Amino acid sequence: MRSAGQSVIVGIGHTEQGELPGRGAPEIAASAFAEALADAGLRKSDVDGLIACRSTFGDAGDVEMGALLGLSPAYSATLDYGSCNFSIHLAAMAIQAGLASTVALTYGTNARTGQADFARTIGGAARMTEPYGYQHIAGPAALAFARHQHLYGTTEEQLAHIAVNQREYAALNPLAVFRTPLSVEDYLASPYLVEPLRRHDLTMISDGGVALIMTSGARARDLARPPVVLAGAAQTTALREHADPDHLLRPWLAQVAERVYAAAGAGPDDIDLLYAQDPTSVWVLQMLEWFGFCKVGEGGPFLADGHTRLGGSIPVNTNGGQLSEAYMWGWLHVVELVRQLRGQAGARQVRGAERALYCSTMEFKKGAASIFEVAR
Amino acid sequence: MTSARTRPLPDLDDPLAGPHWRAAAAGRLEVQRCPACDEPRWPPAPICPGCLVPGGTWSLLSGDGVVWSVATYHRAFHPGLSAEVPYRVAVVELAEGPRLVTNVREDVRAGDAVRAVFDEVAPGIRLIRFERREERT
Repeated sequence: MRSAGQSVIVGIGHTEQGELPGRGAPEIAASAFAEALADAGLRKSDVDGLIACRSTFGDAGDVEMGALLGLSPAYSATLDYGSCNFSIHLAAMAIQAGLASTVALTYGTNARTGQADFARTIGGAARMTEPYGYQHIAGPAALAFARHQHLYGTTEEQLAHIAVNQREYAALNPLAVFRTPLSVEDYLASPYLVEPLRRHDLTMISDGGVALIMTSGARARDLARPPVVLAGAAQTTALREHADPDHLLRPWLAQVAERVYAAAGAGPDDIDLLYAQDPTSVWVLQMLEWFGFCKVGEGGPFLADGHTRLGGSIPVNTNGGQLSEAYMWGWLHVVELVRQLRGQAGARQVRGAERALYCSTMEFKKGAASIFEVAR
Repeated sequence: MTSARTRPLPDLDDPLAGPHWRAAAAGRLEVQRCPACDEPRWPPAPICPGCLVPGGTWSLLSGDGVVWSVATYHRAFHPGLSAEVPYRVAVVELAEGPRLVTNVREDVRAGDAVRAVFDEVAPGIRLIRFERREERT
């Protein structure tokens, strides 16, 4: 089994999600770190690397987190943007370059009780588009879905299955914020937010924290938990934004897919679980298509046929995702895939799952993906 | 800058985009063209992202385009827009190539032919919106 030259996840930790009044982002991230360390069966003195992801309000960077956690790591860095993939890839690079051997990855936010404003205008051309009322991620997502409808005849009822299926998983997940059952009828009866999208197509801002511990395959052999191996990683940047044709459909995700499958020596048929980062349901639809689980344009019927549900051909966001579990910039997707690959996912466990794909984006600027495997 | 209660307005004195908004106020749709490769550039930028030549010549476009996609805001995410909901935001692909995020006046669909219209939203300030046009033959 591959291991020595690989980076692996050996510890996961998280706080409660939803509202954590009176607690700052660094403190929230710190409690997730303590859990991850215990989960890994490691001591604080074993950690010689720290990758900190800044909170919504810009705090909880590596300098602040290192001081709070009492760490003086050999290597540390801060990432300014979300999506756990970027932190994981940086940690893997630090491990493989020999800069650190055991890296803590932290993220915490108090965006909900701190009342962060997510109504800001999206994209680098914000000052050109704000006067037209083009605000909030719901706007570009609605335009992207309306285009998909125009090109392929995709229906709102087909899209509904993303929110509905994820709610079904969330009902099996004690950590999830939204666990009340949701049917396709409930979805269609709810009002539009930005038509053709509804409230259920969008995440809800949450407080919470997540931490991971990564180390080398060689070190992981001595630990109790089955190591979850990073088998392939890929990224792309798409910085031309509005100048790119069809930028809202994000066709550049296909490049990330091609690279991550090549890196892992696997294809869509080899993936048992898909984690598609979902500030909006539309991103899940796009990722199903660009990552090759169905043909481009066929996401609607694919969803309606139940492929992404428990027992389907490719269960998607089995934690409930950001639509139903919590908005954690994808960090909880990684916690969930580690649990699934370890066989610790309880009522929502996908039997025999050995390989998971986690894909994410940062607005319209960056895309990333990781494939994880468990050694059995 | 606009206060929370007034609707968001363009800055006619913006060093980069000001010429676009001043042209709009006068009823013209103008974007930069690269002085070297002549490529129409949107959004405004200090250099050509294609050939890296600095500067741009503000040039008149036809104002004709086709709707790429359209969505209707039923909620105002900016308090200054609460009096305007529901309103339609569209991406319009201009005949010359650039795609604008804009508003459409009426219920249009992707693929519909549209033309630019200039709506005064504050004294001396116009936004470039679009309305349906008959496809030329």
